Amino acid sequence: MERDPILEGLRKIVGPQWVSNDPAILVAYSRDIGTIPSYGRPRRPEYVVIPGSVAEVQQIVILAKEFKVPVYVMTTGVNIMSAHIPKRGGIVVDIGKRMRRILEIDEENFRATIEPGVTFAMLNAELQKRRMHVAIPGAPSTVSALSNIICYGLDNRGDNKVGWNFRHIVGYEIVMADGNVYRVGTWSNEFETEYSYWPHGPGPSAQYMCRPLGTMDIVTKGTVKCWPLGTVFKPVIAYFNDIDAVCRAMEEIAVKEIGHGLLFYAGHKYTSYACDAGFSQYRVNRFHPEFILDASVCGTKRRVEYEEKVMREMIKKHGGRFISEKFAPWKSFEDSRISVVANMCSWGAIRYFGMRKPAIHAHVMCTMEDMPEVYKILVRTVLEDEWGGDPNNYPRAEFGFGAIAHPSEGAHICRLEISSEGNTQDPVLLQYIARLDAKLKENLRAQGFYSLVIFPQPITINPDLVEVGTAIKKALDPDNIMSPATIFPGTLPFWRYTII
Amino acid sequence: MDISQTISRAISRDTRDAMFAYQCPSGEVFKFEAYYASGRNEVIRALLEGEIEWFDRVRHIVYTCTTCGACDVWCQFSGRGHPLWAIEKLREYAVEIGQGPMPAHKRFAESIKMYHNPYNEPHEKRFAWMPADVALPTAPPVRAETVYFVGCTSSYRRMEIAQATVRVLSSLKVPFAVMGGEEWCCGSPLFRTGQVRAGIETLMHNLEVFRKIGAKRVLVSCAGCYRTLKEAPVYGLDLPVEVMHVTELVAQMIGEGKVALKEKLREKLTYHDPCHLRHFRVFEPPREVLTYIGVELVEMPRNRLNSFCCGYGGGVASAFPDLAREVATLRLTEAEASGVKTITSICPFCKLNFSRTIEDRGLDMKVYDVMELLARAMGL
Repeated sequence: MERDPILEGLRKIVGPQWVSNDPAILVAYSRDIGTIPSYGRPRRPEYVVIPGSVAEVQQIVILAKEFKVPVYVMTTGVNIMSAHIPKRGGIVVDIGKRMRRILEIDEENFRATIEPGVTFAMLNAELQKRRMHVAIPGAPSTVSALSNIICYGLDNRGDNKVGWNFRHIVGYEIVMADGNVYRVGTWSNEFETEYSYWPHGPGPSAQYMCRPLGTMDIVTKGTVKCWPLGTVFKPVIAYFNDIDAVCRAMEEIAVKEIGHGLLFYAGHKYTSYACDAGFSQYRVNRFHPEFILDASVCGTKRRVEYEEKVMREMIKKHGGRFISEKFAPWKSFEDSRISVVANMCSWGAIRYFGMRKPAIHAHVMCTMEDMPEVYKILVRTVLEDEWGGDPNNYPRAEFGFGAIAHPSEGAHICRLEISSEGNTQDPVLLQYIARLDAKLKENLRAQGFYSLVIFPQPITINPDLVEVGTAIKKALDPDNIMSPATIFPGTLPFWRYTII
Repeated sequence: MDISQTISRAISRDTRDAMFAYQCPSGEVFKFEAYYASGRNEVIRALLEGEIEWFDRVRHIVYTCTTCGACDVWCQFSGRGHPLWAIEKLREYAVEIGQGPMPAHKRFAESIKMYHNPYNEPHEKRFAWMPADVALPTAPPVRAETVYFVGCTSSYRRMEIAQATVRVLSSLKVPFAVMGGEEWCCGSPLFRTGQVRAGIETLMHNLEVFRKIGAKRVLVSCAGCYRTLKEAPVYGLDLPVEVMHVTELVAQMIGEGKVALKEKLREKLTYHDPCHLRHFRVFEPPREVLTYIGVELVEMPRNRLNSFCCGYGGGVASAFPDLAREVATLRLTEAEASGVKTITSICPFCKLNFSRTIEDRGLDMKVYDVMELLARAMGL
């Protein structure tokens, strides 16, 4: 049999049990939910290697560089729309399986240092013991905390006070394409201060190296911000039948920075948590109020009492009605809300995070001021569609009567998301999504909204960004071994954004 | 619809998104994605699409799943996929086309055929465990409304569970009978390894006996028996009885004030949810029993729906005993990290695997069935 120096080299680095070139092993790394719509066929790597330390990652990269073999990194493989699926052969470095230690929890400075395989659920379970939590972006608790905070987290749905998720990274360690290890963000300055404050340095920015221009390195550990978990946690849920009223109530609460996890959505969506089938959901909806404002208060007993009182006054002022605490779903929802910030061991948490993953096809960012108008345009766009308007049809808009809306960045911006339920590989659903997104853009423009950010959509990314990014990539990775063609020209990724 | 179409439908595209990686026992040991339910689904898909063949590594991937169903819990609410069905159907398909099961599974199938138990033990010794102080008739009853279906593992390997159970039931004056020589293996090991036809034969026999003696309620000690009997309708069989785990009955009687204790047990312990009872959401009755007998129950981080498998099921213990021990070690380590030295459960498979692992690895842990502790608290 012919010698395979790459396989031998990898075995020498990590040990034979953590390397494979067996087709049955490789096939599991050849596809995920994103592969079919974006590329149409599975793509196998040539080798899979599971390193257990940064030194091993370093040696793997040096080996790959020597043989000019591409390297693709995977942690939990969730939420990144095929970025870890090889574009052409190469080595998949699976850093999510053996490198998943929680290295340090700094209770004094509210920081946790973790390896890439640590999921939000694992981290929050540990943090909860210390009355702390980490903010979860729009992601299930099953995902790698580090990679989702760095790469994915647009903002934090669970807590409107803590802001953009990718700013929760304070520093991390990376292995570059030449095999050198760098520490970026606050970590690059660790000898000057014992505290870690921000992701932007001094030193290279931790955030932009990895996020939009990513795939230049492998992150091997990082420190993320954590937040205190109050001694008392209480959800406040209110019903509204008027879009303007719910928007006004949400705006007032957001601007006064009261409560956490503030958002509103159509009553329709709430019932989807409690119903097992589309039909039962439809029946329940007929008796359900139109909008639900959902918030929670968290902190000391006194603070919770005060904030809850103020929040209830505001909601009442705008015509909201409070849900009875005797209502059964309340308990389950309370459970899940606590679990969002705390742990993974409850029925509610599973239900909440395990919900059918809809194809979110339009996230619209607008100012709080514009929110009611934009929301109405979203609703109208869905209802006008022959499928979206009728929940008995498939595919259909899951949030057929609206979208989720929640304030971001200290209440300056509102984020609305619209999703469709169904198998994301279903070409009929994809056609529907494309049609709905085009119509949405048209309707927004017709009403004079030109500067809203909508994503993800399969439209080209900013050419300047590509040019600059490519230049940086060439300088840092001249052999193009780090995840070639995941972000830069070649095959474009499924995930990207546009500005209309 | 043929079997491969059924399997394809059971695999959700969205599984990885819903998959809780560190819940999958075989994945936690082998680490490659193919051994986690998410990757295993992709292997199954590639197999059905003809992208890969049935070679040894594929069989290893297919048969190292313990069928614990942790993946199913998460997927039911995401893509409405059923990875557990997919793997069980695939095993059935493998048997049909001659690619499965593993040699060890064939051996226990032969044993079940000959001796009505998977352990190659003589059928006439099935009730050899019956304690003299209870001396329940072990001949098949003519008529009985409540039947205690002991199960093979409690009959031949963990007899103390069966002994504690009959002592408790007798002491509580529950009118019940055992099936004697008419009790055959429930078929669980056969169903879990894809040998469905043989499984249906043995299951049908038991159902027929229930019908013949007029049984209305069947009590079981074993999570495997529980699932298999409850799922009889899945195989087109009529289930003429109500199936209950014995702790469900005891918890009910505790609620009615019918269970008197001689002493409260002041032990600190944890409870391990058996996988096949998780499929039916049987979480609280054993906990109620434990609370009632006075123990300090410490929950492990993974409990109830999120419980982690002991590693014994799905034919893994017979075909891959090392894997079964590795998984049990992970679970025992979790128990130990929760600050306890005693783990309890209500499944003889779990007890068997934990006790063997504790012995093999020299761990400082003890394992009991909840019924044993109850019997002790009742002074039996």
